[in-house]
Amino acid sequence: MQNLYCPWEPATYLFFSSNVPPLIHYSHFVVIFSALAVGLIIFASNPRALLSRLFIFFSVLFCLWALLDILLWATNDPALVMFSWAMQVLIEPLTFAMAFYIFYIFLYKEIPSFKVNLLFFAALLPLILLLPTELNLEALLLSACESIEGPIAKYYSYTLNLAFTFAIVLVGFLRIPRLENKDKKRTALYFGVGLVTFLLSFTSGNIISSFTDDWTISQYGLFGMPVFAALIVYSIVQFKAFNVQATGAQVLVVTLWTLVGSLLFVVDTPKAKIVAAITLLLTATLGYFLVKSVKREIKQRKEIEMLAGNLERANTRLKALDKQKSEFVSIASHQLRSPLTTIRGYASLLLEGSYGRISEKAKEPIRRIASSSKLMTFAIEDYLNVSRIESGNMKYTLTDFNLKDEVDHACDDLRQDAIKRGLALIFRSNLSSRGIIHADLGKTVQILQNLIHNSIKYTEKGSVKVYVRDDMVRKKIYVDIIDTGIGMSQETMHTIFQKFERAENANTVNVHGTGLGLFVALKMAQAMGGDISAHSDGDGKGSRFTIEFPLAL
Amino acid sequence: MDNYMINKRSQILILIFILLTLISIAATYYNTLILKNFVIIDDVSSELISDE
Repeated sequence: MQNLYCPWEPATYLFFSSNVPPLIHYSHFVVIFSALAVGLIIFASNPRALLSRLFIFFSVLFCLWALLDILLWATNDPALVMFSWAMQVLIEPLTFAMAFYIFYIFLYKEIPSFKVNLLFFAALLPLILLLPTELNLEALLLSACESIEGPIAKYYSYTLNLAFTFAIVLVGFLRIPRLENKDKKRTALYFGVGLVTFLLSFTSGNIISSFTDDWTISQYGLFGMPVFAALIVYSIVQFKAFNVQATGAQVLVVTLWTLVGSLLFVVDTPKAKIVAAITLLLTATLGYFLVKSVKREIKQRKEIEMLAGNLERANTRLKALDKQKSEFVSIASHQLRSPLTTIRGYASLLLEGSYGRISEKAKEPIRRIASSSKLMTFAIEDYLNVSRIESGNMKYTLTDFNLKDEVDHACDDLRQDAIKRGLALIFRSNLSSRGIIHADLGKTVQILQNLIHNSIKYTEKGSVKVYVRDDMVRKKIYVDIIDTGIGMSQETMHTIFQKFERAENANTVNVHGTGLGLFVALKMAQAMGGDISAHSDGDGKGSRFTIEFPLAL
Repeated sequence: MDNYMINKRSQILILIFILLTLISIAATYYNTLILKNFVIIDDVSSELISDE
């Protein structure tokens, strides 16, 4: 009896014999690779997590089942067939139970209660106790080298499989709709669908084979595993499921290796094996570099994202500090302005003789007090304006008025200053329109006076010409202020409108100035829909400032 | 290892389960591979391949 063997050659290396169709190797190795790959990816990401450990155990159990299956196809030893068959009967429901535990812990983040454990224990107990008996496997049919299954293998084991699958579906239905995180919900859904697809295809393949005695059918049931693996991997790449940091490139490369590697077991001729081996080698090498470069790029991207985050935080902090500074300047300026008004008022009253006659000797110092406090008032006004602009508190009252007239008046107001410096202040206009703009009158006059006054200040000889012109195509009006003063370099032109910026050579002609006038003028013009630009051919070659406003037609 | 709580009773249950499974595997191994204590339905007697 012990000397009987099935009617084919003994297997070489346990898994290879003439009885095994090539497709069996291919189907089994593809699923073994994919199960191990997914199991290892999850386990390697966090070997200490319970879920990772259960998952690798689940993958190993399934791989063991698949390996036993190939062994059953290959061997001609009846004793080995009986043992392997019995092990398969044991492993199959264990895989299903393990799948339930993994899914339960994944969903609830806790181990099932004692009652559930007891239920599973009670369900599995008959299988374990009766495994070595004839109730499990009755006999061996020598011609096909197949076991004749008893009620435990044929009915009880499959009932357990279906019951465990039902339990998975049940906890999925109960728990998934209650998950709050959307990504977590999707991951759980993909995981559950993948798991159930795999388990159902696995067990149905075996059930059909068991009842039809055609065991080639069971191999098709195994293809549920790659589907399951694909869904798990998709969840990992898309939602970082199981806290695994994997990229699409890594998955693609591992899949390619699996597919090309499994070809080695299918192709028959030596030439084809060589081609498959070279392809595997090339895929492995290229894949390694691809994964490496993708990882490097991801690392760089993360670094850039981190830097951008830091920069954003620093920027927010700077903005807060800038706001605090503006508030401080505003408060300080207000505090300074009131005493200055008093000083100017009293100096003026003294000069007018409201407090009696003042000697000629005393008049000059009082004039200086008056003029210095006037300069200081302008400086404080500049600081206040900057503070208002930056805090968004500058108020504009927009009305329609004639810009040409205002430019004319501003020139009249400042002509005396120009004459005092020996300069000619010339006003010209060339308008096709009436020159009406919609802006804040006070602020516009302030801008005009600021720019014309600037030109007078920075011009030692020659003239300051003010032209008003319009462009009916662009529907804009321009005021050019052209002087023969100190001019400016290209670098200065780029920074002249920034806060506290003055022309490099400004101090040679004019010691007063905060460097805020042009900044304030530009900000005010822009707030009213206009703009200011500066142009100069270089140091000592004069400057041209152009104010533009949209025409109110 | 993450902090999953498992009560004493469940631990004992799992331990018994593992023990019984191992005994069952050992018994199956002994019964099939050592004693070869199973029925073989010889439906290919004319083409039998013996190990001799």
